[in-house]
Amino acid sequence: MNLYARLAQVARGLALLALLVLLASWLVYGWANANATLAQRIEPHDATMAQLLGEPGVIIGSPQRLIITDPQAFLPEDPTATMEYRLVNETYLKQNNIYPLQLQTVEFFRNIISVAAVLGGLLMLGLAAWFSGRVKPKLARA
Amino acid sequence: MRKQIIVAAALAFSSLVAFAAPQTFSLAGDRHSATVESVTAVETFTGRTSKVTGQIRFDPVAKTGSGVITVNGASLETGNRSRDGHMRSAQWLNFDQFPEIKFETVSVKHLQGDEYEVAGKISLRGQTKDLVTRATLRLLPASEQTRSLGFQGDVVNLRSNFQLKLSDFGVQRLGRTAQTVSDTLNVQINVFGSNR
Repeated sequence: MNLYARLAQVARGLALLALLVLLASWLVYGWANANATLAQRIEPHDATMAQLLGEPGVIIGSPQRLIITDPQAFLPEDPTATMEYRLVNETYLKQNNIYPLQLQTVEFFRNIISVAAVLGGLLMLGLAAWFSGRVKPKLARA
Repeated sequence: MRKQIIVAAALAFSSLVAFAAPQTFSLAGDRHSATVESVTAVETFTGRTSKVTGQIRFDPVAKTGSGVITVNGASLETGNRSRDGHMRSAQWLNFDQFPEIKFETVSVKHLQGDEYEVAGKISLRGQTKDLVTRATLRLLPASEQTRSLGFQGDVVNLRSNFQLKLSDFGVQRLGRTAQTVSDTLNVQINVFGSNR
């Protein structure tokens, strides 16, 4: 096998790898999306403060789609509440050094990886075709 | 029985008299919460501190008041030291040079219940701008509960959420930052003041 044929093979391999990376990034995003919960971080009041103010705690920021796999991080759901999000215990997160991953972070990196994989894959396919084109005349002469 | 009624009436009257004049509530303790939230392409992050000082003057009968609230911006923590450092730097909120976010009321208008429209001046990065926002102010008379929480006297709980446009305060989002970081900073204030 001459050099161009080998390079064409390597380029096709890299194009295949780019396709696999693209698929993996979407699979990871799919997993993250399935495990993300719309959650509001809240620092719970102690019992006296909660009773005085009639609320469970101090709201921190706005609701985000968070990927939290530890069920203890969530406050018990209030069946009477009409909230569209779950409350996440900020104190618990801090005590356990949990910095929740946001779905938008996964989405951001998926997009970057996707663009890189598609561009890289197309470049490799182009190179593979070019290298293959350089191989054929030599084979014909042989 | 008559004596009890007189005592009850006297107590009710004295409590009305006690609240009839404007009172000054000083922010004290560490139960305050000031949060800034910034939306970026990578994530939406919050910086938070309990270091808030100031005074609220409130007349519960006239439903008006005034106040000054100062947040120690240099103590805001986002959960990422590198980002905290960048937030304090001159490239961003410049707390290294101007460590405080200060709000001073100009006028207060009662809306309904505990809701108020507050107009004032806010200072950030050494620049002062006008701000109109809504605020909730609850008066919590002194009780066993407030005392057990460490408050002396009557307590007010003031809350407000508002947005600041960073470019109004001289924050320059250069290059890629202009596309990846929002020009809006969401601010949440939740503070407690006591009149003793």
